[in-house]
Amino acid sequence: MAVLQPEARRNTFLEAARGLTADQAAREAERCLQCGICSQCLQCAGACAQIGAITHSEPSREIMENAGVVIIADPAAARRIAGEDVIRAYDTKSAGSDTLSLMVRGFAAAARAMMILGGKPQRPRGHSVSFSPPGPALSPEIRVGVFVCRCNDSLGWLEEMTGAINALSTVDGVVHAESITAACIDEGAAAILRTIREKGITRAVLASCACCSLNFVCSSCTDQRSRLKNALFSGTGVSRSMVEMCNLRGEVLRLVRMHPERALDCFKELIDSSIKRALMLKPLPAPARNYNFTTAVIGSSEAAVHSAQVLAQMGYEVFWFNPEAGREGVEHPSIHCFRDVQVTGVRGMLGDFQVLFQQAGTDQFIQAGAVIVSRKAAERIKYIHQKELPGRDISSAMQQAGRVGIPFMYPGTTSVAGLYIADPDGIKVSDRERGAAAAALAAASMPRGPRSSRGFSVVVDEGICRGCGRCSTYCPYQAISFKRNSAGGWVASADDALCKGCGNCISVCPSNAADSPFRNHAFLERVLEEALLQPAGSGTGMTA
Amino acid sequence: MKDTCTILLYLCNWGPHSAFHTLQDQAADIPDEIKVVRVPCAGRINRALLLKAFELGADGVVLAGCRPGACRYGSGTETSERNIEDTREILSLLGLGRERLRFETFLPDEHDCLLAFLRQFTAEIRALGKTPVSAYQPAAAAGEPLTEIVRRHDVFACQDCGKCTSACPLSLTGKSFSPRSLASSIIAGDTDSPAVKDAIASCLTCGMCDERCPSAVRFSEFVRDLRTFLDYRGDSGSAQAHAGFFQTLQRTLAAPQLVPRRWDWLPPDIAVDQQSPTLYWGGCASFFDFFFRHFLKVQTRDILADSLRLLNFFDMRPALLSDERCCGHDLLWSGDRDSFLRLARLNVEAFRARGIRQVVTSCPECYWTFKHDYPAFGIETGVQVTHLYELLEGEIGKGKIAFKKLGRTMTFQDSCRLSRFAGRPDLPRGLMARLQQDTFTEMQDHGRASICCGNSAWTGCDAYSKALQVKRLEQARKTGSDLLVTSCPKCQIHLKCAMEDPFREDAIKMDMMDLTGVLVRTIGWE
Repeated sequence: MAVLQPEARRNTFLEAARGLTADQAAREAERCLQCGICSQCLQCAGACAQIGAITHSEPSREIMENAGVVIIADPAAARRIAGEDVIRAYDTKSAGSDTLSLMVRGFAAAARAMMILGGKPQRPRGHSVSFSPPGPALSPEIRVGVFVCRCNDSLGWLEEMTGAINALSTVDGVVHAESITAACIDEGAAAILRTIREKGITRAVLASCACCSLNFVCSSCTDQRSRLKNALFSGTGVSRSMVEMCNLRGEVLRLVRMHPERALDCFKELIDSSIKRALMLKPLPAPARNYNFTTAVIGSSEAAVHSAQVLAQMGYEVFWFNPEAGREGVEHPSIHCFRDVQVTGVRGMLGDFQVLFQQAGTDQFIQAGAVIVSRKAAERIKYIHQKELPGRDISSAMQQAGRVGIPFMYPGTTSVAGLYIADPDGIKVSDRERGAAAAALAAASMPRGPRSSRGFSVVVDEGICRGCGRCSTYCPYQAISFKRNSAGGWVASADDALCKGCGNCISVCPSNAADSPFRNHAFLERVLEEALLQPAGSGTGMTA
Repeated sequence: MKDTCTILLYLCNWGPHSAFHTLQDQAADIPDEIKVVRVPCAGRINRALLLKAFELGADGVVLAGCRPGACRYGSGTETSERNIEDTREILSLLGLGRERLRFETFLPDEHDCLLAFLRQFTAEIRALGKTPVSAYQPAAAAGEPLTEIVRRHDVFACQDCGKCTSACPLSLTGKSFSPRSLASSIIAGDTDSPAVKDAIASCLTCGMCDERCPSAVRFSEFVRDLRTFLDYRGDSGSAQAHAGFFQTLQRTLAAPQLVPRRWDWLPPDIAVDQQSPTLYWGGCASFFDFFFRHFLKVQTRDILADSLRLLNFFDMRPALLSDERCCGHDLLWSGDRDSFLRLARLNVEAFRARGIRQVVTSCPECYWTFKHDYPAFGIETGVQVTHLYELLEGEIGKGKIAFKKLGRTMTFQDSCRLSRFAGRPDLPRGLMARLQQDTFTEMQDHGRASICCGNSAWTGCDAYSKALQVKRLEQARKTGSDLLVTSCPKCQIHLKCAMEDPFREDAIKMDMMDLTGVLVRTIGWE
């Protein structure tokens, strides 16, 4: 900060500290990290007056949580704690330098934690069928409930909106309509659940800040948004398929202060179209599938061998394929070694892989739930995505700015779910840690609950698909496979456990055979009509 | 019509949506013109949805995706770039201008960039002004009653003999599709059961059954009118291939204020005379080449250039309509009769305004539509409609023409509109016969009995029409020829599409060339 020099201020009462220039002040303000350290301005208490969630005079509390193992990820935290069950997931020398290496270190720490805890909880072994308990199916009866979150009036509220909500009770099929102060707090979500149960609501419209009901957290889903979804759908008996959500905060409430009239128009349009969409909701499928709990480890690199050991110590069964004869074996009762075999390829997918190999001149295969391959072995063997078509390379490329075509992946994962590379390239941690990380990834991929469609998977219409193969070429997740059809050709089908719903296959499909049941082409066309043909005055509404 | 512009923003769920959320949370001043449609990935939005926004009157469209290298799914960036580039080329041909469509990428924290971009793009669109296209909302007109359609086509005359079904190339692939049973269902008044709707959408309207019917029922036109019936009822469209892109394109071309720019690409060696009373009508091939350039890589626009070169060869310099629209064939045959009639009136008006007396075309569909369907729907063209082959046959017949060897062995795919509907399988064959005879072999089914290329009017494309195409390509390969000669750009597109098959590619792949291409490469003076 500039200071008036003594020479200049002699014999005056001028202020010595000159303060910041406008530029400097702006620069300083930009440095603010919004870390939330309280400066006692008490503005929050005012903003939250409605529900009074903030008690400014609340004293600090001590909370005790019990844990078997502690992983410390921040070098600055808990420096003095040490012990066998305290794992430090960083390396002081390279900490903070390289995100991917830090991630691998984190996975390895998780693996060590699982090893320390290993055997205590019974790990699943062998194979079984994983199935979804029949979810709360979509009732044929239409009883619509409309819940409108006022977002704590943080962006304002119009009395006319309350009127519009009250008027909904006359709409056909609507049995309940109310506004809620805040849906993302426990009381808000609990009130919604209670009303759904008490009034037997079968289709719910939830206008808040969350934009979809799916089990799908995109980078827009903040804490409030996912908290609301968790509270509504985790073990409550309320199905995601019966709720239509819309982003009221973003589309309407933001306009309340500046453009109240438009806000009201948008409000009516948004609630109206959401009710219409709620009437078109479809059930989300929940398929049963085979699941194998054994991991196959292929290769004899340090990392591969270590991943087999770590998995065994965690309590999992391992098939170890050692393509190099003479390499020291790994002794553990849970590790079954296949020596003197030639692995030729890997087929299938998470939970249901087949490792193809030759032993004494005969082709054989063995089933596994996850596969870990050493980098060297990955260069040699192929992932056989479709028996009749050439195999594909197994690689673990990481995204980087400016390079297109690589999906987001964790280091060590490949575009095939459940297939990992033990020693991925370009990761600056030891082989042992890379192996442990691969083991943690494989263990984490074993199902804890049933795998079911998350609602946005692509479905291919068998009668329409022409088997041109474009979708399979463009699918980043190898989710598309082919089978014979009754016309003597081939049809594609998308596996809903692998499909992540990006829809790129839909946009290359020549005959519209591929479409997503959730927000399909007809839906998007209708949204376009709503957005473009509605009278002037409607705002940025109609966000699908 | 609204005075303010409308900009449609397709917003990818990842980077751009986060950025947009931040803008909403900050109550930022997002331009009122922006209408948002959120999508899972920019790559999800196909070209049909990009163009659909323009058909519905959007003044600008933005596809917002993630920065290259940051796409969650990896493939979104490339897919979007491809879809945008194709659609921009088509907007340029439409005369709407490439600049109305943009693909921009953002990271989740780039909300400032996003806002700046939205403001700038809105300013650009305001400066460009409103689109000449506005959504066509037909007056609630009652369609022809079903009983009237049945009566007009004299479907009651059906003797239930089943010749139609036994000749139908689609039924022969094993699809549960039968012209005969469709006729009985319709007579019984059923237009609602899924099987009937599927059958109405699936018919290729190739006209094979028309050839065989002893009671002279024109089943293809009957199906066409059933599609119109369903369209009036607001009950069609789901069976349109390419997500209805071409129907959208042609409806856009029916906007009266639109001034397309169809011939900017014309090669400099071609001479035209805009004062000539003879018009060369090109058809939609130039659109096809942009739409299909990534997967099929067809070059059907060459048919137009080669046709003009052949006319030039005989010292004929036709006029061109720089703002040529579309004959409306596909709209008519996929059920949108209103838009077909709008196009027909605009076309005839254009002929009249330019003093055109003769229209020459190389497209079998345009030919049949102008010659037969316009008058059949009460629209007198006031011009003589001539197929290019007729004109060439006459000129070549005057003598002193010799054809060089092409060095290929050829077989020929008939076009349904020329060979069956217009009854002129002799036209292309006459020209083929003037080439070296010994290099030409007919397929097993040819002429009026020829098998369809697999689709008409971009409707009903499915696993069975693919099976039919595979059968046709196997027939072509069986002739031992190395070149499949076609006379319709769509035959080329559809057969090329069938060749896109990772499992059977080697068994059905074959070179193709339009007859005009063969002629232009071999024709010379004696």
